Amino acid sequence: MALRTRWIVGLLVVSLLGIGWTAFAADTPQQGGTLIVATGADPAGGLDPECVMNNEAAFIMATIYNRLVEYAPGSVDIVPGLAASWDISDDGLVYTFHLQQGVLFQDGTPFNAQALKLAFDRLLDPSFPNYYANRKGIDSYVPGTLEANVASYSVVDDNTFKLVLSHPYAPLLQDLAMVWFGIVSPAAVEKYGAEVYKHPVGTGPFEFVDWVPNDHVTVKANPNYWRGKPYLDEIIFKQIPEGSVRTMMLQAGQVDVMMNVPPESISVLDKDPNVDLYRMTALLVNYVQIPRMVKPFNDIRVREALNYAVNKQELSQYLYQGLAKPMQSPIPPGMPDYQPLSPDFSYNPAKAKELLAEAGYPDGFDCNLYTYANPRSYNAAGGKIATALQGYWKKVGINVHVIQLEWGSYLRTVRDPDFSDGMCMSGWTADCGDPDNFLFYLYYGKASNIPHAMTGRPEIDSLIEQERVSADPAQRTTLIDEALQKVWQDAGDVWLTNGVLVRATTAKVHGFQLDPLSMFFYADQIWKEK
Amino acid sequence: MLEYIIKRVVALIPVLLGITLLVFLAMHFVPGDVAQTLIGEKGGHEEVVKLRHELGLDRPIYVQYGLFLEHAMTGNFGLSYQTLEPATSMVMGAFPVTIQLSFVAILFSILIAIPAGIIAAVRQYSVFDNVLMGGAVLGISMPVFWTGVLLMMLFSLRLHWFPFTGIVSNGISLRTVTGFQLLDALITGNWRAFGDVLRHLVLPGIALGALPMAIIARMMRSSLLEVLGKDYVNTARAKGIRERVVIWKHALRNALLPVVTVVGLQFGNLLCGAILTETVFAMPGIGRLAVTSILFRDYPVVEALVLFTALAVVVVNLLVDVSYAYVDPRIRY
Repeated sequence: MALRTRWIVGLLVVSLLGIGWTAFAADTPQQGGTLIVATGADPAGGLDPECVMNNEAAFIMATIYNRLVEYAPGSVDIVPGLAASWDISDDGLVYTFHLQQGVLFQDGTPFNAQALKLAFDRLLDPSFPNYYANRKGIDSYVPGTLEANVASYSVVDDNTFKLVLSHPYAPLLQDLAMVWFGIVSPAAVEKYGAEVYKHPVGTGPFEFVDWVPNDHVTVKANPNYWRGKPYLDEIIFKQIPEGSVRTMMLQAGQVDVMMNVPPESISVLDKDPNVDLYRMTALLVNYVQIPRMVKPFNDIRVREALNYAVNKQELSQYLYQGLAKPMQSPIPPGMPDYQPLSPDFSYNPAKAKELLAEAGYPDGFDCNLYTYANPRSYNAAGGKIATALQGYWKKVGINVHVIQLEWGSYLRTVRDPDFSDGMCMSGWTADCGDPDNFLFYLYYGKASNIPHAMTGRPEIDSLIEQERVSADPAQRTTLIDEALQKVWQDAGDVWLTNGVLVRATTAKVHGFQLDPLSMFFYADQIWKEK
Repeated sequence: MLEYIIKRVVALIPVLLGITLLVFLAMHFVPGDVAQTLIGEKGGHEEVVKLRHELGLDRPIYVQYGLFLEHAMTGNFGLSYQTLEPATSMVMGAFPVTIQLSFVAILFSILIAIPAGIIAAVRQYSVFDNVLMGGAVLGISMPVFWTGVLLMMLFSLRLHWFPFTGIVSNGISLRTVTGFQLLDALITGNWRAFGDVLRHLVLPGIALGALPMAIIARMMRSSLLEVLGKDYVNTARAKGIRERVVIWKHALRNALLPVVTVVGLQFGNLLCGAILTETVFAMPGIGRLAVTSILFRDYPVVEALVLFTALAVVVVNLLVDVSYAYVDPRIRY
């Protein structure tokens, strides 16, 4: 070969090798590195899983603890966690968990059925010395699920644990997969007592290092993690309250992951080649609660009119900048048993006026609409939604007086059991991947979370009561479908939007995944290019 | 002098008592229930009632105030509802950051404002004077969350000269001795940390210092102008003393008196929580703590914060008044 040809061939080979190597390198996980995650707030309530008060705490606890069962990445399907497998009795009352073997807590103590029993004692036995509720001033998820449903629990052998329910409770596994049922090391509980929230010890891929309030939380890799040591050495959760600052820092590579992406930053980040955006329809609903028990809202035609008068597509596209979709069911897409329901309540002001006339309000009526000011996870526009709704309803003759309150005062006002002074903005983020979480807390007549706006619907209540205790999955699906259909058609709320979750990372971060429940990000799968 | 100081310290007590009462009442009568806010939208009514009882919020208001006063005397404000740390230690942990930030801000503002004010006064009505005073108006008008973000965009994002946020970089380990990062770095001989903390204080210091700088510059200008119009200055000029000496030796010292007061008062203002600056620059100072505590209705922390801040401001005012006696020989207490 001539010399020149040799050079060209040589150059080509080297370049191809280089490209191949880069491609290979980009796909092969690299060990090491520190991941900096920007969040907007401090973990409120500390790092005791049962006492979660905000999503920021949940992110951190998802790295430190494992649960008995877990959600498969990106979905609400249940997969093994600390329980390798389980059997459920035919009557749905007895759950036998076969535990993973050879698992250690981060303090070196073994995870087994005895440790699990002590963890349950802490949650359920008020006479237990370190009963979790001995710590004053906390809120907890436990009373809603375990306390109300568990009759007893026991150790069968070192690796087998039995849970007996007082009545069938279909969403149990879905609840146990949530971040707040992370299993805490009993040795740590004994050592630290009520202060265990400052010294979290679990079996998870990362161990707690330090927490400087209002600044950061650091966790480092657990070298003995039972699923294999994670790729990253360390994760730092940095609190950066200002959205525009988080965006700049992400673009500059000063933070690697941004959990809460302000809507106005999305178009900027989309164009940035150094940033990857992740989107997923999240398990959230954004709606307007109607005081069904008072006039004129007690007439279904009025409630339907309120729905038809709002252009949810327009709201999704413009107010939420494409980060929302109109609701088509009382539960969000991604939930098991979700399907779009009819009528679809799509924008039809003429029909709205017709319905109002039929109901005896041809000239509309006046009413109040209460709203909070600040953006919420299910409503990025905050108080602006109320102004938009006011505009739509005015066109059909409904004159709405908007009353905006600061969040604390808002909750106080609209959560009063006797509240019926008007409609109010409302929303819900799923507490687990089961439709019961919405049916029971939002649409059940005896739900304690909301004023008794859902009373007077015995058929719906009965369906919900039945699905909760059903041990037969097929029968349960039928019950849930029927309940959802009835709830939807009753138009007890003005159904607005489902949110789209958006998070961002630098292009050097790989393995990052979203999850519909908005609190896991699979830290053990993440690696960072050097 | 000593008598004066003692009198002032004794006068602090009713002032502080009055402040405690105001703060306590304000927090408790602000709409929005602590228990409901803590529980959020997920909890039911019964849980709210239970939590109110646990937190002692269902006791009569005067009983709550009495208990609060009793604890406040010992510096014990109870545990934060949010973190369950003692409220006092949370405030004490956050104060040093704000104090350091305020120092940097006031230093920056003095370094620019005093020369600017002097030149503006000496060259009254000149282009320089107009530009400087126009700049001062800008300084007063520009909101700090806007200047902060602009500074970040230029110096952090584009030029990479200064870090974006926080008080110290991730990789730097600094042993805590006093809680003041700059002092701790000096005490432990950690020069790298010292430089790092200083770099973190520059941008927020500039953003925060813009307002006091504008005020001090205008004060310096008007004060010097007033002094330059006095008879003794004319006499000095008539005696043939050079203009530079007239200004520096005869006029400036007297003109600085009201400026010293303003500097002191501005420093006290900065201590009250550079809330917006600390939020934009994510600094763990008392401003940020105030925002999160108020939104969370974290009574113990808010009460501790307000009392400590009030104490700090009162002490700063006292120091300013006392310094006056040294600066101005005509003043005797």
